[in-house]
Amino acid sequence: MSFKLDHNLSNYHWEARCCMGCAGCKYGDWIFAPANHEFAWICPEWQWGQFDNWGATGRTRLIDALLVGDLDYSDPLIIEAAFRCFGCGACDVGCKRNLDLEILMMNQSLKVALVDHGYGPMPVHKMISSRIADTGNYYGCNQADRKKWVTDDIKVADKADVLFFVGCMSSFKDQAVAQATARIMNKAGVDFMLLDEEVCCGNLLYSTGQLKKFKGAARLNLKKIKDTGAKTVVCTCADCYRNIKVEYPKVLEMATADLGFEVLHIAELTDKLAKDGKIKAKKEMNMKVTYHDACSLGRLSEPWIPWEGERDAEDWSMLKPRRQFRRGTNGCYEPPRDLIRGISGIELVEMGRHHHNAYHAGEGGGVKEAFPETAQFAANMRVKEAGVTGASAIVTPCVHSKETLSEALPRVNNNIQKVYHLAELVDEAYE
Amino acid sequence: MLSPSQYQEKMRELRAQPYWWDMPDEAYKEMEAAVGPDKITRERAVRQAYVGRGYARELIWFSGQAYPPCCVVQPETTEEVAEIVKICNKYSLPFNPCSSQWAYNANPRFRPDQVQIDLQRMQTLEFDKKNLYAKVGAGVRYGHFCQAAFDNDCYFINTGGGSASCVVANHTVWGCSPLNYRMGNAERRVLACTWVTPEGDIVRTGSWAGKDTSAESGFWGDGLGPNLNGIWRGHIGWFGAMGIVTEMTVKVFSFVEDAKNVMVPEGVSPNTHLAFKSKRVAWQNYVMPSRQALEDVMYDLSHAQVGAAMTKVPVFWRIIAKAQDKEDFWERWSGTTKEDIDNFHMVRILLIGFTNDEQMDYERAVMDEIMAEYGGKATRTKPSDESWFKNADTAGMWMMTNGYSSCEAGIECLRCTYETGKLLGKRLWEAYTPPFMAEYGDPGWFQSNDFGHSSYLEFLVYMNVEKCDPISPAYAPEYIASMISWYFEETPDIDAQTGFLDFFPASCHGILYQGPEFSNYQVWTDRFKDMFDPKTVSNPPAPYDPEFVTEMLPPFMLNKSRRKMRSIERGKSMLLQ
Repeated sequence: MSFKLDHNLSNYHWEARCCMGCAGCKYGDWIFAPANHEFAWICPEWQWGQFDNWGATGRTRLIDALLVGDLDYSDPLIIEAAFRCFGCGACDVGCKRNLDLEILMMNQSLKVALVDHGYGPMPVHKMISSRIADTGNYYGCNQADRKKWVTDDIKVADKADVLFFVGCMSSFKDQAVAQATARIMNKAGVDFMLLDEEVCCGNLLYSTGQLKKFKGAARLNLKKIKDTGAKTVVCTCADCYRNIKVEYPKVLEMATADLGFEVLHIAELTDKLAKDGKIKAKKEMNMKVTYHDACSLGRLSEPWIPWEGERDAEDWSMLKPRRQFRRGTNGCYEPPRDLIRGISGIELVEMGRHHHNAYHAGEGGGVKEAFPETAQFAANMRVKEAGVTGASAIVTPCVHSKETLSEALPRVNNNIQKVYHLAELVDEAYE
Repeated sequence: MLSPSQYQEKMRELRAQPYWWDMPDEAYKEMEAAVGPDKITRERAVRQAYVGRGYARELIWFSGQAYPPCCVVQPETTEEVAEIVKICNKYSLPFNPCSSQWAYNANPRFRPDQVQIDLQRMQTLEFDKKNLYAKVGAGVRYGHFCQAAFDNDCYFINTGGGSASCVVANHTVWGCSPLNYRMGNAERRVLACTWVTPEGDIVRTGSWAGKDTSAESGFWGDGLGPNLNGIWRGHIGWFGAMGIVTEMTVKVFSFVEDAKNVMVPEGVSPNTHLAFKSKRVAWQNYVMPSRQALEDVMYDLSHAQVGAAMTKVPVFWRIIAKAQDKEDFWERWSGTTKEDIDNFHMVRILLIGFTNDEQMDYERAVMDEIMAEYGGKATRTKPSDESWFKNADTAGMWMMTNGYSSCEAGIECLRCTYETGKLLGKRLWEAYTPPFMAEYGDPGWFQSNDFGHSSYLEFLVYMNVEKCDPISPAYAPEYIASMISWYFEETPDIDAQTGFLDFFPASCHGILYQGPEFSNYQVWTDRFKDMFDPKTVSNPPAPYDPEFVTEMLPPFMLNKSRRKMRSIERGKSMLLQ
């Protein structure tokens, strides 16, 4: 059987029938399993909904039923199960701890199939995608205001090897993060430029299965980036970073290595700058913090490697030619931690679920927009878990999770007082 | 590849009943009132999510013998479980209890009218570290339980079924693990228990038998007079056919102090492990010069009561551990020969200095002395645990072929498991390779239990699942016929030679009890079943509804297989004379 790593749901029928329900997608890596069941789940959707249709292993059976005709795409619970998924990839990494089923691609392809059959995305997703098409940004703001975050103290080059892809959130809503990112580069002597007119990376389009629209966004942004001649694209938004580095090549059927430029998150760049002595931690910050591994910078950030070949049913279902798997192993986990540990006075403590096994913070997949109760549930859980460490602050490399976690603070009301974007913390401590 | 319409046509041939069955509204409403609307559903998309889990899916699900339940209910308390069971009795609805859904019997099979009682919300987990026991609810999994044990300076087994397996369910049957070497089998570690009978009565045993159960510790397993736990537990057990155990207390065992800082999770997936941060915990592998030396050294070490686990490792398990992926496994395995297997004898021993360094030194010294006597050579062994303490990579066993079955599993004397494994390996290699994966005569996985009092054997066969799947282009009914022949004709013959009592046919089919060796036992289990479950609603047909199973067996199960199972006689005991 031919098999291509794309968004055609029928390509994942093998996955749908091979899953035996080991719960790797539910509880993740058993080596890291905690005793407390509340913090044992790695799938926030499943934990919220409890029944197995809300988790990846149940979804394999739904997909099988769709593909063999036992259920129909119009089933409201299948639609809901698909679009309540954050796409955080915890299930995928959990599965690949032992097996190599392409669970995340399967889930994503289900969303695409539902869109293709006319049963998705959810109405609010359609509204936002229209807004992106009309205005070029997620929030429907005036694109002319995109660079208003640039204050007088920030130096932006007209032409440089480094392009700062700011993202909608940091451009319009949480401008402090964009400013902190820019200041770090200024301090380290890294010249950077901005796009003349940046447009939304299309994160919501991809994560809600709107593949054709996302391809359009990918082509547009890649052209804009290439036109600048940039050698490195720096993102402060983990989702922009993942989309440019991983999802654009994925949907355009190319490898990350063939993009023609390097994509770095500010955590990676800053860590390198610190290790090269370009910036140094000077301010003492006496506090205990915990670090939230955003999925887009962690387990989902490995370079994309396209693959097409045969799965030989006669020969133990082996893939021919052999392929390289993305299992979350080489995500960006240590650079942010090294930066935090480098700050005098700060104590970094780990939550029970971290690195590849981290729990989601409720911001992705269009879930917050369509099913806010599930998103809030996930964010609350993460803040609760952070509180158990005794930390007073959470540091995250993701602007969106900074938002969802910050919103959860008053709801949970524990010892967590503040959520930092990593760039803000580094900007404050490093000179 | 079949189209949806071709698949539906094929399934109409294989399925004995329509796929979907809608339960009576009245019954549903009563259940909804018992647990609340958030904890029950009969939406088809939810019901479908519970189909075809765990072992033997290639024989049961692919062959059209697995159906979605008629509803899924997630009770949170024992009282809610009892209410649901009573309603099932009232409407003669069969019910199927599940938690991890990892066993053969934890999903509806053979009939579509079963109520799925999903116990995963029952997450009680309380430790009494001073008195070395823990209270555990029916939803708790081993991986979480083991970490809780470390947090309380204790340790516990992780079952052969894997970290995702349910603690309570495993204690109703044998609950096997290499760590049983020191702790004994799981069903013998059960203390107080809350049991919902097949008719919905709540029975509390052991210390919980008092009037005010909340005041009781759960420390004792026996009640006054007979121990009623004996009705529902057993080596093979009832697999849900004798009601539902909702919570129990179990013995736990003291470990090196500050256990959670001794067993530290490290690494990034898939290369993660528990790093040993104390020299008082160590795995040690030894290569023995011969098969006989391996058998003898396990016997002698057991008698010396040395070690905390002792297991013989099949060669391909080591290759699985090293392989980067399935293709890598096959590349490595393709270089293996029968000679390699015949000449490789590895035993893996766990040492723990529970009390102090001196205990560790003593255990190691005795082990070294015995090993020297038999020519065992220590090999480099990582100072970490990848499997058995907290993680058990059972799911990883699917990596090579995407399907395997334990065709034999049981507990007997050490010699019996040695001999049975050898005969199984030889016969599989000579007559069933292909179609099964080449194991080159490897005698399977066996280990010492209870300091050598007994031994556990599990013999696995690895098959090409695609050949069992009607939807695959590789589908081959004759392949399934070979599997049936191996399971139901060949392995009973070998058992008859060695006296090995194989658990699996009994737990899956009940038919074994019809053999001449079990006539009287069957009469009495029949009586118990009739008395406690007069409407046969508790998880039929597992394990004990032979007539039903005989009628509903998949069409590919040959009549001669049935006859064989009915007529097999148990062989002579191999206990040392």
